[in-house]
Amino acid sequence: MRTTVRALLIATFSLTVLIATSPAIGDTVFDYKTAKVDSNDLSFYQPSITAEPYPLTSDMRVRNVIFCIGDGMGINQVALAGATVAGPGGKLHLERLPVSGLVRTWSANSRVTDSAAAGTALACGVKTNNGMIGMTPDEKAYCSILEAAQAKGMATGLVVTCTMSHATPASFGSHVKSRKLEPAISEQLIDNRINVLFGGGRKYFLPQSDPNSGRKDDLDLLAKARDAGYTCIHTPGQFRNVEGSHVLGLFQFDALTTGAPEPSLAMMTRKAIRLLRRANLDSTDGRYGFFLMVEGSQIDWECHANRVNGSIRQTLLFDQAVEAAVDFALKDGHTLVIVTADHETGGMTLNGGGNEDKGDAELAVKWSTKGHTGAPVGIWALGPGATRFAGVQDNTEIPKKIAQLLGIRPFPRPAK
Amino acid sequence: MRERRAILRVSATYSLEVEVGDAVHRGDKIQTVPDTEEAVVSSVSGTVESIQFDSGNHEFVIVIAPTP
Repeated sequence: MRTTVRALLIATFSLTVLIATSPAIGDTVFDYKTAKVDSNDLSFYQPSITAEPYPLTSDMRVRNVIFCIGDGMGINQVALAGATVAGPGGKLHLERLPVSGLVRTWSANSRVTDSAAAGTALACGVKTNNGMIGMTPDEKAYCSILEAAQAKGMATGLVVTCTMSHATPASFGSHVKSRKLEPAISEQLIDNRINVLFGGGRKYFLPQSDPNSGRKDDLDLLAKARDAGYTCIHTPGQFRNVEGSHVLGLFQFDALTTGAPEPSLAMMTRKAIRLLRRANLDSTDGRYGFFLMVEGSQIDWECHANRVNGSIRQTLLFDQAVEAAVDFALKDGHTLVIVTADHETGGMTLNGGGNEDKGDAELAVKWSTKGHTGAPVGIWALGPGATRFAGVQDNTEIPKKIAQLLGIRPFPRPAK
Repeated sequence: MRERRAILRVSATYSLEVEVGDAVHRGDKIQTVPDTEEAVVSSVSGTVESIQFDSGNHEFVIVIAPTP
């Protein structure tokens, strides 16, 4: 079948004039007031030359886990991005993972989850109410899979494009009653000594005396992090050169713009993998491996705004990060890569129309809501233990399966 | 005295029951929370002038202008 959909969409994108106002790459401090990215520009993305699945690794011990979460990334968001860049017969990198299944996403108090409850399910293996982070509805804190991995001696990392303290990363490294408590979440992320933290949200690490602060107290969390042994960075030059067992990279006061000169999600993922491997080698002779969570945070945001091109762009940026994880996993052989979403946003549907032979086929995108939906989401896996993630499962089962593969027990378990 | 615009902030998790251009009356439902009896109602009468998504707070910001 001809890839008319792809041709039409790419033709549309190619007509768009690129915005050329981004600052030159250098050691300038970021912090744009508004995003300087063009959602129509997909030139950054290199599609797979094949739709063949990646190899199914023969079962070996799982040493490392890379858990990739596309916030708001329903199956149709994946299908649309794939059709745009690879045509109806092509695949995104994440679709080439050899094991796939579906995930139910409901929360403790609603069939329509938010990212806090879904993140808690994916991180801690327990259901909670929408808005709550890392604890059950009765406010009992539960250990996240990241914290359990760390207790086992593994190096840990969180890489996101939202603020570091937004709901999904917060679920892996903090325990609070409300997702809105971002200053408190930021403190817990540092107190938890997570090795690598890359994302936005520097405002929550600055004391209120700083004009860019998002805090209402005098705590200088960057100073506290430095005292705790973190290397704190926020420029492209620092990002390129940084080394260390604990690195805090906050590249905007608020969320990332996901445009140059910020490091892309894929660049941050590659760097995090390198740092985590080194941190682990330095501290434990490489015996214990690492756990890394990577979030494509802004798919959700584009879908809340019902922006088709933005949804495609953010999904592709996320897919690039998945490709980075897969590249490492295939070379390493002991790394499990899991890709899923916390929920679907926008109720996106793809309606066909026109005639492909006449070249007027279009993939009409319709939205049923500006909120989240209760639709199941996809899951894809590669590496040792990947087959355990096949089939239909509840979101709380995912960290339980990771824990089993890492020999972590009991899990779920209350936090200390 | 002339009424001012009302700005409502509601969770972005759930669907809205209004769109830009809709006329609303005080007490009309703006958003229903699924699986609960909870609903967000308009505190003013007027016309929905804009709906923006605030990603930082994960909220919809709804501006309701008084009907002239």
